Amino acid sequence: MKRALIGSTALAGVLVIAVMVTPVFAACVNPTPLQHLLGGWFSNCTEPVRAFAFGVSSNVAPDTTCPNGAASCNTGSVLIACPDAGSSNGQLAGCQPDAGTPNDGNVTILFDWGGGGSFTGCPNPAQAANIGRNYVQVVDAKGKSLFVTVPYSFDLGAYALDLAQPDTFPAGPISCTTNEAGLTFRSFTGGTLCGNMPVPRAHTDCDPGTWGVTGGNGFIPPTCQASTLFPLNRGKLYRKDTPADASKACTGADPVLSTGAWTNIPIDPVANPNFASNGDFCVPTPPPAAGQCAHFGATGMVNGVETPAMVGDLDLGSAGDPNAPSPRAVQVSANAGGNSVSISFRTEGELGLVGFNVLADAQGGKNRIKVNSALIDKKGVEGGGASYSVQIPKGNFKGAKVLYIESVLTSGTLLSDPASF
Amino acid sequence: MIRFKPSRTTVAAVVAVVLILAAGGAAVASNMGFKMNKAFYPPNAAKPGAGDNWTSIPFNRPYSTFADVCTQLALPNVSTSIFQVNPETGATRLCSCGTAACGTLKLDLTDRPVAELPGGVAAPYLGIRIRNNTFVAGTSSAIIVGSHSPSLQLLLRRIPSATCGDVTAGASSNIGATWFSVPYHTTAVTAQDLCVQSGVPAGPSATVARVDPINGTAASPAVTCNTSAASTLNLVLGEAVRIRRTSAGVCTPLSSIPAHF
Repeated sequence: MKRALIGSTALAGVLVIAVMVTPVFAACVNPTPLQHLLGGWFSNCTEPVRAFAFGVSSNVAPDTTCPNGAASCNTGSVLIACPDAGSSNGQLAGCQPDAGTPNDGNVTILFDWGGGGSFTGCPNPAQAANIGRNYVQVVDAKGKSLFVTVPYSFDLGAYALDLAQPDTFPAGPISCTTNEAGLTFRSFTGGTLCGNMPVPRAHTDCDPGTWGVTGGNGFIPPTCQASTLFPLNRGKLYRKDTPADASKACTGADPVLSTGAWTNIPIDPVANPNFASNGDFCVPTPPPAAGQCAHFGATGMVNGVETPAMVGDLDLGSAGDPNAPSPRAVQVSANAGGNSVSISFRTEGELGLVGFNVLADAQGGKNRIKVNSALIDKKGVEGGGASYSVQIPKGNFKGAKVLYIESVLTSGTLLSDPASF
Repeated sequence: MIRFKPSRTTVAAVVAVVLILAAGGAAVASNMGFKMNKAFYPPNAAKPGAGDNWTSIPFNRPYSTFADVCTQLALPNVSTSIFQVNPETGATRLCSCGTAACGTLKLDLTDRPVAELPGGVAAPYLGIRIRNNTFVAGTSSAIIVGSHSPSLQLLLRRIPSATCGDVTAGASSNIGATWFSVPYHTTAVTAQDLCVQSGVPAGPSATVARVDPINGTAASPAVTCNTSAASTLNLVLGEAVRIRRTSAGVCTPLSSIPAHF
């Protein structure tokens, strides 16, 4: 009896451990599409584009099928982003025509939780409404991103991404952007990365004017239930170094989303003193080796669980990027009128830029003087370019008729071509 | 006194006629053409599978794309979805009526590369699922028209088989699942009849399933060929049913010409 008890206890222990170590989550028995269904698409997404999706359960019955969030239900390595109508997804389904043509910036999502491929879990075996809310992360080659969440629509029989999009028919597109999720780049010099890591903003079926809220005004019942939206928060900061590619540069490569391919540098914003409450941070991290690009990515937290893939900007650090747009001022023009000189110029990129000075050739070019009273602040967002227009009193030029725009960088300066007035 | 003892074929014929008449007299079957009044049922949250109106479409029909089905059957935009399974790849094909996607999806799969077609040829024998949350039981219906193609072969693809060169890891359970548009004038009465006619080998070599659009999947579990359950599962006029081989068997598709009156 005692031996039997010990034996059965040991067996039970082994079984429990086996279940804990190797959880098995079956794919859906029934087709359970996660896709654009009402003619919608995502726009302004620079290809190649990658997407990753996962389901999250509230763990309040009957919504218990993805108890550990993305760890329980995720699209794994299946390609779910459609770059164009002529492509197929990773399950060999033909992409929607709304994905457009190659490199037009339009992409659609196409996946079936009941289909084939290497993925985990079934968020909604019974295909019931509001079970296993799905989240989709999209990151493009330029680091722009989208984060979208929709519930299962019983009426549409699918997790239809269109529910989080404007309620036109076809559904109005939403765009990949640099400012809704992930990272905002400020600088990466001297072994310090500065930026901002916002709380990721997810497009939801409860956003005003979406199919989820209006149901298309009679076409389908609305799906929005604000109580089913899970809280979002910052995740962690990651880094990945890759060789600089002269043809693709650092900011054109195929994005890699899975955190498994990244090194957590490691920064948990919640606990790290380098993070301000608004997400601003400056953290030490070494510059990339010669010929290498440093990429930084951020995850998010959904209902307290970190997303297993980057939720936002990836290709930001580019100290080794041979093709990064220069912060040098271009198209400089100057016109004298009244008591001031009007100057305009623009930049194509502002990575590593601090601001600008206006220099003038005084004394026939023998002496170059600064004519602005204070550094002109940069306006470019996340390393992008910007246009400028400034007025400087004519007297400051001391008779000079030629000027330059000096880009002041975190390390050194760049001088524009001259402009006469 | 000679006692009348009807043959199996006679019984099948009588049942088919009864079914057609029971469909409201709106279905007229012949080798030349069909006009079928197909009833549709709404989804029911308490009965998974209810509202999945798996529909047979004649092999020759005036519908080329999913969009043609939407428009010619006057199915409402947005709320109506058309769904199909490609048994060769396991890929599912879904669109909402009124979208551009429905215009690109062809009922016989010919919008896909030849390598993704069962047997490398068009598959006009595939049925579709029509779903709409606004269907009203007993009221919603549509007229489906077309004609038979007596020489068309039904091809049943193998399930994933490493021996045949398939990738089996993570393979879709939809691979080899053929949702068969049962002809309106079929001689098959039961699932077992389909098993026999489609040439599946003896033994538990395939399963047949229908989805009860009123009571859902729980009311109509799949049956295994060559079992008594298969002999008691009656086909329903106008419904497509799923046939899937349970063992890989030969690598080439099982080929048969659907029997009909």
